[in-house]
Amino acid sequence: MKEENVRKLLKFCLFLGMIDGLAGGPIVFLFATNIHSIFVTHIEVEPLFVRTTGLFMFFMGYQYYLAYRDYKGYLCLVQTTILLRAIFAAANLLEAFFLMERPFSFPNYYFLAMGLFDMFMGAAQIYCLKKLGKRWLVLGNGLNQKEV
Amino acid sequence: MTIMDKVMRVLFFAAFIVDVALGLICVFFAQEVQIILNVGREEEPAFIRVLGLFPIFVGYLYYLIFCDQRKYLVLIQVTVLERLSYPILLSAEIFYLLPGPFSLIHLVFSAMALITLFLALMQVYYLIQLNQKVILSG
Repeated sequence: MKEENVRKLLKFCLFLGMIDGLAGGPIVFLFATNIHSIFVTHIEVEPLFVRTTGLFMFFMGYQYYLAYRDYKGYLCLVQTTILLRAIFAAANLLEAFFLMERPFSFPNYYFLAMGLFDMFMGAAQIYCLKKLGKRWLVLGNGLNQKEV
Repeated sequence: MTIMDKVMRVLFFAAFIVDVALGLICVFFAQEVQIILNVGREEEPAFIRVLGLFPIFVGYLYYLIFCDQRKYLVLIQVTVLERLSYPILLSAEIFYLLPGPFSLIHLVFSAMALITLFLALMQVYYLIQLNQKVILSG
């Protein structure tokens, strides 16, 4: 793939991540009770864990927004969100296949779709960074936020 | 390295340890967490596990900051927003959303809100001292 197309793909991924967080976060936060009722039949208490998930999704969207605006300047945000996508992909797929109740029903399909989406995002970000000659995993040194 | 740098380095390390520990507890002991906090009984507490992943990620960001806080200034600026928004949510939960009377979960949330607010304010103070923007707007 040409370098220009790689840059476009990266921008597209960052845009998707931004929409996922900035639109999905407030929805999950504000409609936590409704969302919780899809997964749990008997709601006894305030769905605080769903609400907090919405807040963190918004935070993730903010990171993607900054990276989308200037991915060269905020390269470290592109790199760090790869880890987020990787752990989310693993957790969502584990939930779908092993932890949620069987047989497959809506919650399983939901977590499966989320897991595949996270996997796609993480893989695409890794691919783009490798093609652009950047490091994709940072473990505490060698990262320069102004690296181009 | 100034005294402020050293103090912040200790705080970032503490934040890294606490966040990762909190995240791992939520991921691997989700059943126990919902029992201890008395937040309902679900067969599979998926949202507690999913929520646990975020502190692990934030802990990773703090680890990077701890490794070189001057180089990863952008991560300090990004985490300020998260640290400031978290106490607001916790306060809303404590005072409006969680049912009364005051119980263990209220106490845990109050402590978390105060600690998070303290860290956020320290980060803001540190960034101001370094003549850096507190909130990035792109």
